[in-house]
Amino acid sequence: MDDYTLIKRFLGGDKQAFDEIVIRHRDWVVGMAMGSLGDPQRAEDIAQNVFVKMYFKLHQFRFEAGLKTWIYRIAMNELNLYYRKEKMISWFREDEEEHLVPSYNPDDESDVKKYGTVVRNLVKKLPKIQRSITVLRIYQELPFKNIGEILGISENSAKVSFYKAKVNLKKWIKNK
Amino acid sequence: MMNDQFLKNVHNKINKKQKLNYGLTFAFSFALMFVMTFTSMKFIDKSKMEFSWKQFEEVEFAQDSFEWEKPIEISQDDIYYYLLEELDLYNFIEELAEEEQIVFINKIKLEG
Repeated sequence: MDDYTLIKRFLGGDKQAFDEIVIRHRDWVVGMAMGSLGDPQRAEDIAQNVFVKMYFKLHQFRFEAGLKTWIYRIAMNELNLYYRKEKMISWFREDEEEHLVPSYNPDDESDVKKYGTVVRNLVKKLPKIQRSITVLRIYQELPFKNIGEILGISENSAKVSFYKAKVNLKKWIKNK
Repeated sequence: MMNDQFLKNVHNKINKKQKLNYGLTFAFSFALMFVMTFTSMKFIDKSKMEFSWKQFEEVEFAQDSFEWEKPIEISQDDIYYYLLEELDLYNFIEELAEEEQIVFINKIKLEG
């Protein structure tokens, strides 16, 4: 059964259809959150929030785009909300950790992990649109065309923003 | 199993949000009702007060402007006419005339 049929069933009052949608899309939503946050518990929490929002907004779904694209948008909004909260909390946190860039050896697994954490923390600092594109491109490996569709921008704008994000990240890493 | 727990958590969050939404809707409706009631009551009270005050003002004005009627000085003529009226002037005259006629007739009879 395809997504559209499940949505129609849910909107018709079948609550089981919603569960089926959640089970169908759960893994990649958790994976996306996990990729950008690096914390399994938080990633699950964010993914749950995505489905809660979906439950209350599914009646607004217009059967023009795919359900996956629509869920991506909700997930991106949820992640941005999380980053914003984090940023606000960090204003009140005096002892903020300074993540120094470790010496990077691609063969050393622990180095890769440490470097990943540093990059993740730097991605948080990017402007909203650059951050969203970076998350979708790096952690979800989506083509620019799809990223444009999800964020409501053109493919070229997505490419340009991703380039700017890379420049910013390189600059910050050098300065550390 | 993991899916079950995940779904359970999602449903818990949905229920929690639904309750919160209902609570917010109830609180908002209650506040709106309270404000509307308060506003309309204020309006009614105000109009009542104005009405009562007007009435009070009128009564007070009536009391202030009340004057006792002074007894009119009655002349002798007035008393005379008053008594005549009370005694039915015409009957009195008639009676008087009758008496005069009788006297006059008797006088004629006596003379005749």
